[in-house]
Amino acid sequence: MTRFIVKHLLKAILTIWFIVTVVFVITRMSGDPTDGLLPDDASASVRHEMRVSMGLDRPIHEQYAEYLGDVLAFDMGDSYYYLRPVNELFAERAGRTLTLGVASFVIAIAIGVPLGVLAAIRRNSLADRWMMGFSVAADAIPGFVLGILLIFLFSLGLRMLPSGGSGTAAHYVMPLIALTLGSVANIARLTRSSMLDVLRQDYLDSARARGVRETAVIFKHALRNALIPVVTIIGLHIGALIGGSVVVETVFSFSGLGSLIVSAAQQRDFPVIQYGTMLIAIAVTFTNLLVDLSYGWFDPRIRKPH
Amino acid sequence: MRKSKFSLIAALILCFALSACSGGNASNDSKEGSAAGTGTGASASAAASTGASDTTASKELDVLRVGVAELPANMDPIRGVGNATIRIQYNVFETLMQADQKNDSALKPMLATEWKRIDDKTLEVKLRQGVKFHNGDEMTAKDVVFSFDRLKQNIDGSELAASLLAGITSVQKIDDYTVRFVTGKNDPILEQRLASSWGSWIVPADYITKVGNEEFAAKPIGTGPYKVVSYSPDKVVLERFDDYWGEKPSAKRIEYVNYPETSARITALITGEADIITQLPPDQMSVIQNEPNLSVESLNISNLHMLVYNTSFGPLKDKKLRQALNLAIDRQKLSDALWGGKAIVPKGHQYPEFGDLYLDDYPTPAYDLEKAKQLVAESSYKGETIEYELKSNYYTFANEAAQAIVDMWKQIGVNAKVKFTDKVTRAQVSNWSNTMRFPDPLGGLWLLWGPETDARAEYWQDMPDGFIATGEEMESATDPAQRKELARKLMNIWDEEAPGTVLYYPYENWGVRKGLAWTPYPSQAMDFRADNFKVVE
Repeated sequence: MTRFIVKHLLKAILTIWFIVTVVFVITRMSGDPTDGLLPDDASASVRHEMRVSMGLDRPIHEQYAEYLGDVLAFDMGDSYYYLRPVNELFAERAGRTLTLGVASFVIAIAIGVPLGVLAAIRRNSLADRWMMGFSVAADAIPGFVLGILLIFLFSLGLRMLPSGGSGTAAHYVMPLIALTLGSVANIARLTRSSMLDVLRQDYLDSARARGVRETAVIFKHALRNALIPVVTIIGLHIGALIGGSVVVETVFSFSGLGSLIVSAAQQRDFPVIQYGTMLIAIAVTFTNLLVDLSYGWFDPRIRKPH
Repeated sequence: MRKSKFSLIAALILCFALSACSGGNASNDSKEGSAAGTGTGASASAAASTGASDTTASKELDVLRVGVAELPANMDPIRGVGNATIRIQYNVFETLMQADQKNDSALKPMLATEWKRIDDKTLEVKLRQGVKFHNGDEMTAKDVVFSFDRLKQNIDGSELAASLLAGITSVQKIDDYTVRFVTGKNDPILEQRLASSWGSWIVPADYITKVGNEEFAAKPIGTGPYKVVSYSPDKVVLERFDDYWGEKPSAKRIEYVNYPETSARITALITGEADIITQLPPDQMSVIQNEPNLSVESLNISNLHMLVYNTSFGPLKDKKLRQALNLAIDRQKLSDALWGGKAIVPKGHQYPEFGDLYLDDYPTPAYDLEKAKQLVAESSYKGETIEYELKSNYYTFANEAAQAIVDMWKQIGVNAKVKFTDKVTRAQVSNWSNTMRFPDPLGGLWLLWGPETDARAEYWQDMPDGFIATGEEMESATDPAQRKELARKLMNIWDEEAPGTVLYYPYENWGVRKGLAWTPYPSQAMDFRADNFKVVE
């Protein structure tokens, strides 16, 4: 088990290093940050002065070496635009995005998994068809379209919810729906098909033959096995949640990490982009690591050496 | 009804999709006109459209909510100056003189009560007494000296402000209420520079010395009618300052709320979450106009959309070809087709906000295909393809304008093609916008095209001596009649040499709730002081 963890941990670190490096190079290739920071008729000398103060006049390998050194020393640098340390900027906004993300994640599982199980055991019933029809539609609709439809309905039409901003609990409702609906649908569909596979297995019949109650058969024997592919997808959803928050926060003018990263990309605020992508990379890599480890719990055969 | 709702929703979706694809169109457009801040001409159209009348008694408003496309990166008025900043800071900070935005940039006393020239290089300014900063400290000569000395401290983000006021060599305190400004060279527009929203704000010396630049950038203090209560990524809250020396403004509180997406700003205005929104794209105006309780304020801003020709390389080396290109552009047609006729074709490279220096009799660029064809025939042009470089969606309607101009040039036998690029190299033809920084040719044509600029270094290397001599004469000339003639000569040479050409003054739209009488300024500063913002119903 220790070897398993160490091996995966090393892989994760390598992945993060690779992503950080690629992002570093791409940001430097993407253009000149002074374009976003200065008016378009600022002179070349003012631009140059600003580039020097950011250290962008030096060769890229020097910049990269310094950047890696800083990252290892947990110094993430200052935002070009806000002129403040990037970790302060992220800390200010992280609470909102995490609240949104965690709530979305919990709701997606809490609704998605039971819906999927229900659809599987009531296969081909009217409820199943409705649910699956809804899932396909909900999964297919892009977050920003859904967001705008929600704004149209609840803000413009019913005037029940604020169309944007991030002050009160009411400000969370629509972003949460927009962020979660697709995940619910996706998890429900996957749980359903995975359950259907498992329900066909002989060992369930043998469990029933041993006199195990039907609810126990489904929740203890079937669901536990059916959840393995679902857990993989749920792991991927954590990455998607951060990606999704980028879009959803933009639609709802919700000032969290997502909108910070979007505006940083538009302003070519390299330190913010780098820190943001690094955080996403870390989140996704370590979730995948946890998912890998959790397989062992769901299916002890994975843990055992072959 | 159903249909109109459907089109609204379609418009919102499209609007979001487009802005997402273009990568921050809103924030880029906002840079147009970001530099100006001093002057403006009369903005009659805007004043008329609110239906406000000065005779109506003003009521108070508890909260005025302004939906903006971006909030300032920090609240220090000299760091990262731009549109986002002056929208707010115009109400928080004050300059010594104020360039009256409704009266041809005429200078009015603000923190200074009077000023006089001691000699060509020295200006003496008397300060208003009894002016309080928001923390209760009195504003005196010490603060004025500190504010301008601060521009020489190389504070991160202050590069641009510093460069515009670099001509001031020293600021001396004579007594608590008298200050002298000394410039290295004669500077006929020093007073206008001191009135600029572009770095000339007076800030508190003791407070900044005590808390440091970083804390000041988060918790700024000025002398204006509003003080900053809070500053966060999604909202800046201002509150009326009770000890303000001037007239009390109508709104007790102002909240600037950040709605980066155009569709979100429009929705916020419709649902009543915002009372005024900025940066309403021309193609979304009808959405607001269709709402019974909303109106649109439009105004040509102190900015010029233009083309730049590189006079040093390839076929454009030939002046005749450049002149022909200028003659073949039907600017009015571009304005009619793209801007609904609201972009104004300028009378040369100048701005109406110049006031007395504005040459109203200067001709708009000629449109003459016959003469253009003749010039092409006389030129050395052999049918080479000319590249028209631009950054996609950077300026409003610039992509469409580029396609149209290339087609117009085909009519005179010039082959050009549009080249979208992330980095405009100015190798042949490229687009640009020029913002007025001070209401004077020294803050326009000369500032952006003079010998100290990128023009001389890159795309107008053969700048004629006559142009340089005229501008240099203008830098120190003080006689108004002489300055006017020099301004004319400067524009004449520029037009004749044709290192570029003007297209039009773009216009900006604001969505405003009816019942609020507020006039936007060409500098894009949002003035909510007593004389420019009233609640009329």
